[in-house]
Amino acid sequence: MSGATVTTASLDTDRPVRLDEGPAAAIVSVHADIRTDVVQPLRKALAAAVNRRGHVVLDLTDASTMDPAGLGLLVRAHRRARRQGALICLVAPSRFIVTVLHTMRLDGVFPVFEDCTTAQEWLRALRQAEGRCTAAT
Amino acid sequence: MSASPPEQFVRRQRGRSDHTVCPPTPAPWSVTSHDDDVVTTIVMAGAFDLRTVDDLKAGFVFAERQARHVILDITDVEIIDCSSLGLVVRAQQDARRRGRTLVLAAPSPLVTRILQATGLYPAIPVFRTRELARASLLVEQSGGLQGATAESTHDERTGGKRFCRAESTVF
Repeated sequence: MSGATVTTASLDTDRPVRLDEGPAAAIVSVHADIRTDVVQPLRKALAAAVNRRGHVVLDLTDASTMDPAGLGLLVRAHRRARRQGALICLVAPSRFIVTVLHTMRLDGVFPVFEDCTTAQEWLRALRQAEGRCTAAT
Repeated sequence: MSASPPEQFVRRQRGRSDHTVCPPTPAPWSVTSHDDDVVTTIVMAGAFDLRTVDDLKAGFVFAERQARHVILDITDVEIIDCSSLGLVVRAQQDARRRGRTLVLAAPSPLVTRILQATGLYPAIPVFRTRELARASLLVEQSGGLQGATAESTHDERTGGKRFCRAESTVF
């Protein structure tokens, strides 16, 4: 296992959205509730991450709630990523967010992981398998 | 307390009785397969009952010949009866015996309910999207997560089941 993948936990209050490079995929971490004011930077960060590396890990450890604008953003980001063949993995969503996703019948649409390391491991395995099947064709 | 049915209902019944010999118009349905050298995807669309069993069987025979994991994409399945579900179960058992996996992808709410009611749902993995099904099969094939458990402690409803299996599908 490739050690502690991210040390981005440093709380950065003036930058609620951070984009970091992980070993297998870019990591977008949100250090605020997913509300209207975070939507714009989060949308940009997710788009940039998908364009650059494909699959994205969205770290929600420090996001406790989500409003309808945030939900809409998540859905749009998912659809855009899907069009490019990428997955958005959620890391440690709060119970509030899990409940919102469940209510909107969106659970099961996003792969959910406990921590960034697990998500990165999973994506690394996925990339390896994808690489093998593109090599075979 | 008059128990006479509403006029409209009576008229409709009377009208229909002239055509009882005609079979109901069959819903359009199709079984197509895609093969992408890791998984074989069988796309089912329409209504599935006794009349469609042979074609579904042909689809599964094709999938078996490809010797790959199978994703059964049931996004556009309107309704599916027990004869077709029996075929799905048999196909899954065959696949498992050969060391492969058959999963279902993207059932509609009604079909999810059918899967749950028949007890098929926990027995056969169900994913919300075809992409997720494919990703999960790829990861599984490449040896899965060594030691790492993709489990959640955040949602009690799913009982900490393995993630990326959309265990908590639609309901």
